[in-house]
Amino acid sequence: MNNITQIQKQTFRYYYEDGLAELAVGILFFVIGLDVWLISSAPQGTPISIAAWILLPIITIAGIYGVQRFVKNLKEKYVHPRTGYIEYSAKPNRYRWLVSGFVLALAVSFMILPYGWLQKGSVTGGMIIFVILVSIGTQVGLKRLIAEGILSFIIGIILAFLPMSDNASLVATFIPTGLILILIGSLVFRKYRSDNPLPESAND
Amino acid sequence: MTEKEHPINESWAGLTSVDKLIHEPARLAVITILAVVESTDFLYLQRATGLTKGNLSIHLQKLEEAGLIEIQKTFQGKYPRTLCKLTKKGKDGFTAYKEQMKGVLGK
Repeated sequence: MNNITQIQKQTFRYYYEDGLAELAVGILFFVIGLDVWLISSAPQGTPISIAAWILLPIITIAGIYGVQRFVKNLKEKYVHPRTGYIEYSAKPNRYRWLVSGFVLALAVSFMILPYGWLQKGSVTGGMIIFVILVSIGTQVGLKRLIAEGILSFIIGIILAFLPMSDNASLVATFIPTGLILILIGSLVFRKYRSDNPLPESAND
Repeated sequence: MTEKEHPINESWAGLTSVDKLIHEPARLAVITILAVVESTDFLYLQRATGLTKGNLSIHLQKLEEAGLIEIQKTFQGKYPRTLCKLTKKGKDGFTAYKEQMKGVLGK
């Protein structure tokens, strides 16, 4: 039965093995970080500040869809002809609901709780990224994702001690975490391509 | 001694009634993968199971003939793609197989 569980874990892990998901999420974090930086740095009420506020939910929602499209297109081009195609079930499982609920609770607590540790943008931001990456890493058995989640959490904690506003510390969490994910994702993708050359006939 | 005094007989009966079509290691690996996804292609199954193309084709054919999987030939761009999907009968069969094996090996 253990072998069955291992084979199934490996099947889920396949989605993350090429590094493309990290690359795409890293770009999204980086763009969100830049927008929050605009919000926090532009004088309030100016067109730039207002535009940045309007853009934030648009970037976040469009970004989630965009990440999926970006990963899907790159996988079709580079991954499926090399190591095969999997269509995963679209139905979220109980575990994913639990993680989403926890992340939502963290985000809401950041907005409504009185000043405290969770009010530090960097702590909340780092913790949200930590929960997402560690939960995926644990579920699929990929240590790299767990390490990235821990790193993001550490960045969030360190930044909380620095004298900066909540928004600035949130920026300082998302931008470096995004850059780390872009870097690791790119390296993993390069290694994946060199380890898996394109076969002459890509299927049976 | 009566049958009741030999609980080993019951376990043995459970083992012999296991679906041999699913129990074969290569086919079990294929069904295990298909049980957690919507569908997957021949190339992924070949890499994941480590079987040769010919060997995997034979196993897939047997599973298809038994109605446990569906095979669909499509194209992704210029590449041909053979998609495999577990049928309802396949899902039920795999669930029953796991239950039987739990009974035989214990949880």
